[in-house]
Amino acid sequence: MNVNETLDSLLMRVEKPARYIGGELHTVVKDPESVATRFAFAFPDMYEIGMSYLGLQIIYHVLNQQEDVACERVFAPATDMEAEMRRVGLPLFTLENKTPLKEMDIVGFTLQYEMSYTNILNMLDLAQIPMLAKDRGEDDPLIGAGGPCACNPEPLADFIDFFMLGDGEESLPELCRIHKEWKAQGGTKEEFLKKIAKLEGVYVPSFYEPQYDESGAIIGMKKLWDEAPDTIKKRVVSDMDTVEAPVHDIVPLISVVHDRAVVEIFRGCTRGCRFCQAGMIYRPIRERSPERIKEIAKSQLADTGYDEMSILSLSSSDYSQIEPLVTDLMCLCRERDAALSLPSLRLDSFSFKVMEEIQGVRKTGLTVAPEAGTQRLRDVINKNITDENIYGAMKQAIELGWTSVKLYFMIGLPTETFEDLDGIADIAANIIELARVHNGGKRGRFNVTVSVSNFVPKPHTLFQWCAQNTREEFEEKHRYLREKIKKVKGATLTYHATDTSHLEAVFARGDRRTGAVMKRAVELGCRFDGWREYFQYDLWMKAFEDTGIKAEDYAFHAGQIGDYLPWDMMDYGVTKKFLISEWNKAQEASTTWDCRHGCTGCGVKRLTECKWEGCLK
Amino acid sequence: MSRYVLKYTKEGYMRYISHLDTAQLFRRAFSRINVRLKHSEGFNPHPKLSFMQPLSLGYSSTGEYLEFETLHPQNLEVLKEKLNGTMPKGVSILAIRPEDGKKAISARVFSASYAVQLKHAGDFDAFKMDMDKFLAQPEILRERKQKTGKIVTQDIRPMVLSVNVVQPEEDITILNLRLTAGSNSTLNPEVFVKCFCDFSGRMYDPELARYCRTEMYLKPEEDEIPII
Repeated sequence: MNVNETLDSLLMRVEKPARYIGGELHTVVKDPESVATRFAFAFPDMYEIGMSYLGLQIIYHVLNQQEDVACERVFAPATDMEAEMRRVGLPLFTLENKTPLKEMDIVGFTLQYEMSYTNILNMLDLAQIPMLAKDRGEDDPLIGAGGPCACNPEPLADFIDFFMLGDGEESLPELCRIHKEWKAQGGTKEEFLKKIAKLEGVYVPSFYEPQYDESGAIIGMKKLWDEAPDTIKKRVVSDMDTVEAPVHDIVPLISVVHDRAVVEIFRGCTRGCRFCQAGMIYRPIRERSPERIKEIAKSQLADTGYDEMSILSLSSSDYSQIEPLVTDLMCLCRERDAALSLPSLRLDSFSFKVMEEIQGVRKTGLTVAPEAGTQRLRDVINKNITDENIYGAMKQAIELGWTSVKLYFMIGLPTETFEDLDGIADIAANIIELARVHNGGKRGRFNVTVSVSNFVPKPHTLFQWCAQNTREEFEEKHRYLREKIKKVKGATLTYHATDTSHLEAVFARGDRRTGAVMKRAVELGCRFDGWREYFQYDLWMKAFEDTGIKAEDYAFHAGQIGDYLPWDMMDYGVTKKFLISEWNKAQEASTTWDCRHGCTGCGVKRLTECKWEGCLK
Repeated sequence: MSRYVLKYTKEGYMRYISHLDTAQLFRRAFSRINVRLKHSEGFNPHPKLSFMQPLSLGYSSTGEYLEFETLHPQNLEVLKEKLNGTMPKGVSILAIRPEDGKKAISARVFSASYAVQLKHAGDFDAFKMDMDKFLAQPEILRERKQKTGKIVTQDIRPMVLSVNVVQPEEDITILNLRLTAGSNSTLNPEVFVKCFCDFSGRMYDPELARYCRTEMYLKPEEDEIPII
C-alpha cells in the first residue's frame, strides 16, 4: 500500500481526520521531479496551531516562489493518529505530495516555544529519521531549525544540523540556492554544512564544542573547524515593503485557532520591556507602509474569503499611522462583510472609539496587561504604564458599558515582594470600585479576572542572569494571591501550572547537555508538553533522574554578569553591554525611554539601519 | 427572486471534511468570488446557506445539495464556473437552478440513494439470497440509544425503499440503496448494513466498507425525481 492508501485506511479511526489530508485552497503541489530542493516546513505542534501561524504562510509562499524549490508542510500528528501510524508503520509524511519526510532534502522546524521541543524529536522518530544528528547518514534529509527560540539553539544542538537566526525571507532562498549547487556537484553533507556556515545567520552546531570547567559550568565554545564563524549574526529584513508577503494564504478546510486573514504591520518593538525576549530579538522596528498593508489586506480578503481580518505586530498602537490605518482597514472590511480584530491595542481614547465602532453593542472581554502590581516593580521591568493609565482606561471602559475586564500579571519577577502582590489585588479592587461608583453604589454584573503567569527568565534579555522562583515560592505566591483576591467581590484569579514554567525555564536557558533529558523524555512518552492534557511531569522528572541532569541547575540558577552563556555566540544586535546597563538600571527601578524618543544604544545599529530611532523626538 | 439550489460532489479526501466545515467552505467560496449572500436577521447575522441531510464524515457524495439566497440575481452558468474555479479538489459544482417554492428544499427532502461498496463480502449468490431473506421480514427491529440515553426499539423496514445488489468485479459487492432521508425519517446506510450483517451472521468491518451518497429526492407526492 502507498501512503495515500494506508492513510485512507486510518483516517476514520482518528479525531479530525482533515488535519492529515492537505488539499486546502492555495496549497502548492509541485512535481518532485521538477525541483532541485524538496523542503518540508515542519511545525512541531498540531495542524490547528501551525495553520494559525503567519510565519508558515510567509515561508511557504517565499520558498514556493522559487522555481527550483518545493515547500511542503508537515505538522505533529495528534496522539491518536501517532498511535495508528506506529501501529501500521506509516512514516510521517508531507501533506502536499504525501511524501515520507525521510525522502525530503531538507526538513526545517520552526521553534516557536520551548514546550514544543519534544514534538520535534518525536516527529523525527515518527518519520523513521534518527533523532541524533550524528546517527544520521548521507541519505537522511538535512534537518534545520529557525524561529525565535533559535536565539538559544543549544538544547537542540545534538539533533539539528543547522539553525537559521533572524528573519527567514531572504536567507532561506539563499540556503536553497546553495543546496541546489551542492546537490548538482554531489558533495557530502559536511561539505554542504561548511558552505552554509558561511551564510550570514546560519549556525552549524557540529562545528563547535562547548567547554566546561571542573564545576561543570560552561566557559566557552571551541571551534572544531577553523573557518566556522566566531559569532552568528541574525538576519534582518530591512524593508517590509519590498520583502515578499503572502497574499494567497492557504485556507484551512477545518477551523483552526485563528481563522482569519492576518497582515503584519511592523516588526520589532521600541518599548524595551525588560522581561520581553521578543522586544529584544526582533529589533530594530521596521514598519510596513500603510499602502502596502492595505494592498496585502485587500488581496488577502479577496483570495481567502475570510470573514475576519487581523493586524499583527508586537504593539499595534505604536504604529506611526495607526489611526488612519485602522480607519481605512475598517472601511475595507466593511465592503466585504468582514470583521476587523485589533489585538495588542493600547487602551486610549482612539482604541475605545474604534472598539465602539467594530463591536457595536456587543461588548466582549477587555484586556489590560499591567504585568506587575506596583509602580516600583513596573519600573524595574520597564513596563511604562502608570496607575493613571490603568484607571483612566478602566473608567472609560466602564462608562462605555463594558462589564468584564481581564488583567494580565506576571509573578516571580526579579525584586518582587509581597507588596507587589498586594498591588495586584489592589488594582482589581480599585477597578471594581470604579464600576461600583459609576453604577450608583452597585457592582452589578461587573467582574474582573486576574490572570497570573509565572515569570520565565529568557536569553537575550537582561533577566537572563536571574533565577526563576522555585515551586515553593510560586505556590506560596499563588496561595497568597488566592486569599487576597477571594476578599475582592467580583474578582477571580487564574494562574498557570508551575511545572510547565519550570521546564520552559530549563530549555530557554539550557546548554547542550539538556538535549539528553529531552531525548529521554521523548523515549518515555513525553510530547505536546504545552498541552495541559498531555503534559506528564512525572515522566519528565524520571528523564532528569535517568540522565543525571538537574533541572534546578538551569531554572533556579542566578548567573554572574561575567559568566559565559550558552547563547553568547548568537548576535541578535542587542549587546551585552546594553543588557548590563539595563540590568543596573533595573536594580534601581530606573526606567529607560522608548527609543523612538532617542536611541538608547542597544547595539542593533551594528547589524542594520534603524530608521525609526528618535522619530518621536 | 435570487434563491437557488446547487448540486455538488464531495469526493476523495474531501470526505473527511465535516458538515459544518463544508458550510464554511461554501461561505468563503462565495466571498472569494464576490457574490454576497443574504444574511440572517438578528443579533448575530450570518450568511444564509442551508444544506439538505448532513453527510456523515467519511462518506463521499455525487449528489449533495445546498440552498442559498444572494443579494443580487446571478447568471447561473457564470456562477457555476466561478465557484468551480475556487473549490478545492474533490468538490465540484454540477448544476445550479433557481428555486421559488415556498418551503425550503431541505424540509421537502424525502429519500436518498447510496452506493455502498463492500470488500471481501464472500460468495455473491449467498449474499444475495441472505439479502432477499433479510428484506422479506415483515419488520426489521434494531435498538437505538436516544440522546437522553433511553434505549428504544425501532423498525427500519419501512425506511428501506429499495435495494439492489451487484458484483462489478471479483470480491467487490455493491449495494444500491434507496433509504428515507428527511425530517420525519432518516436511515443511515451504515445502520442498514450493520443490521444486515447481524441478521446474516457476517462480521461488519467498517474499514472494508465505502459509502457514497448518489442522489437526493423530494417527497414522492411532489416528484419522485432527483432535486436537480
